[in-house]
Parts: sequence; structure tokens; C-alpha cells
Amino acid sequence: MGVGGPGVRRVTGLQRQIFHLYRRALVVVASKPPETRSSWYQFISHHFRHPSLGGGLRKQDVGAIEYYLRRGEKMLESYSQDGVKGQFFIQASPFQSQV
Amino acid sequence: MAFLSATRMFSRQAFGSARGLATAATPPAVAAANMKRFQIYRWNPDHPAEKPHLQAYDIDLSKCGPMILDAILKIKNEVDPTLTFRRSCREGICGSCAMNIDGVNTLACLKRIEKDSKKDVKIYPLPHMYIVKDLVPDMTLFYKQYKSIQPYLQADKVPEDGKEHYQSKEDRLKLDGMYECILCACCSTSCPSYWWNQDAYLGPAVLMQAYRWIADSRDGKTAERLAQLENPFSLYRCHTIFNCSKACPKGLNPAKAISQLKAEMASR
Repeated sequence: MGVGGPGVRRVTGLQRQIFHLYRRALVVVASKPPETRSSWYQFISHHFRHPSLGGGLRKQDVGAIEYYLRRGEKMLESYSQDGVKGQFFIQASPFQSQV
Repeated sequence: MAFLSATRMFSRQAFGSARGLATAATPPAVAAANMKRFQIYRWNPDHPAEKPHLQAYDIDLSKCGPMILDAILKIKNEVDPTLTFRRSCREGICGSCAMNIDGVNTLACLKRIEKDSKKDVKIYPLPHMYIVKDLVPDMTLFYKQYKSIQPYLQADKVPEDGKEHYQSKEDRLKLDGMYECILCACCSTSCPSYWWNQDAYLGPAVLMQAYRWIADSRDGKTAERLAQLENPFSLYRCHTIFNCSKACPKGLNPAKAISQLKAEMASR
């Protein structure tokens, strides 16, 4: 709850949770083999920034943000295991499914 | 000529008043349509920003089985294939189809549809659980809590003949009413104390299983099992609300097991 002075943006608790998850994900990636790290960074960035996932959320969609946070925690738990070395990240073009 | 006489031989006149011939078939009685509206909770994790909502489906009960599970399967097969729910045994033994039907936690395969009532049936997932999709709750915390009580026999002594851990009939009777639990989570998710302290309070289902292993005469780790519950939350968030025993679809009594557990804790 520090006062940074004029012009400092106040971060909400929810935003802080998102930052902490991102930081923990980056810490986990640092323990992965070096040749796989760039694809890991792409993977994390995709989940947080892509408009179909984290990037498409508005500030008001608190339920959706919390859902993605829970999903992110579970994914982090499984990917932080030592056996998981790398992953293939393919960005496919989305197609509209008829519902 | 012979042909004509043959036909007359087998004609209706030869047999008199149609004796031996099949009568004209009457059309089968068509059951009157008995429409019932089902309001079902829907939420899609692929569009998480969309709020959960109730979707209405009208089902003809004369063309549907008697249980709620028959109705939602009919909806999934004929009306809306995207409706998602868990189901397996359809006879109330697996515990997969536990959901909140008209405000009460039961198994969908054991809950009859009220054919005479014109009121809508409201189907929600188990209360105060995170949702995976539609009527499917996230049970990982529940299973983690069950694992934490070590629900397996920990006998310190190897039996004399090396074959079985013997148990008297009286000791085996103590387990009746607890071993039948199917872990459907109807009781735990009906407990308001579990709603407010889900991460720390174990909940009636898990506590009943904890007592099942404490009451088992073959188990040697009673003291350790009781010591594990010696904290303000695991057992002592129970305030005898009794929603658990009321909700159990198998007719078990978790509240009684918890009270026996508290008595054991007091006398250790």
C-alpha cells in the first residue's frame, strides 16, 4: 500500500495476482533447458496476451479473470515438474465453429 | 377350375365368420404429450466472459424415462449436444451425476421427475464449487482432502496365519453406514461451513471416511489419525448444521459419524 507519488498507477489486488502468476511462470521457465526457453516464453506470453485468451478480457470480467488465474495455477503446477522439458507451440489460425 | 375351387376353399366364406383369421389391427394408443420445462445452468469455459445463465428445454415426459438423468440425456441426444454433465452407472452407485436439482443435492439417476407438477425443474451444479463446464464441478480439492486422511488400512501387526486381519462381527457392524459412501460430494457441498472454509475444513464426506478408518478395529494408526484432526479447522468447523445427513442420496448419516469423531477426540 505504498504511495509512489503523482503519476504512479495503482495496481489492484487482482492485477497483482496476475503479475505474481506471470513471475512464477518465468521462474519456472528459467529452470528448463536453454534451447526450449524461447518457446516457453512464447507459450506464457500467448496465454496472457492473446485476444482469444487472456488478452481478450476486460477489466470488468472478474469471473473470467479468476477462471484464467485458476487454470494458470493448475497449468503451472503441471509444467513445473522436472519431467516436462519442452513443448511444441503452434499458433493455428482460428476458424469459426457453428454452434 | 381346380384353381378357383382352391381359392374358395381358403376364402373367408369357407371359414364362416372370419374365425381363425386375424382381426383388423387397431392403432396403438398414443400417450398424451406431457411437456415439462427444464431450466439448466449453462456456462462455457471457451467464452468465460459470458455470464452463466439458465437455458430452458421442453421435454415430453411420455417419451422419456422416469429419472432426471433420462431427461438430461434426452436433451443431450435430441436437443442440445453441447450440454455437459458427468454420468456413469445410471443406478446410484458411482456418484458421478451428483447435482443440485430443485435446490436439493442428489444424484440425477435416482431423482424421479415429478410428472404431475407443472413447475419448471431447475438443475444447477453442486453449490459453491468451481465449475469446469455446465453441470460439471471441479472435484480436485475434494479428492485431495480425501487423500489427506489416508483412506487405507494401516495395520501395524502382520496377521498370525499371514492371510487375513480377523475382525469380529460386532466390530464389522460398526462400519455399516459408513463404508457405503460413494463420495458423490452431495453432503459436503450442502454444508454452509464447507462453503465458507472449503480449503481448510474437510467436509462431512471426508470426515465420515476419517471416522470409518478410526472405527475399524483392524487399523493400528488410530492415534495418528486423531492427531491429524487436532486443529481449529479440519474437524471443528462443523457446527452441527445437519444439511449433510439430509442431503445424502444413499441415506447415510455423516453428522452422526462426525459427532462420534468429536467424542473420540475429546476422550483421547
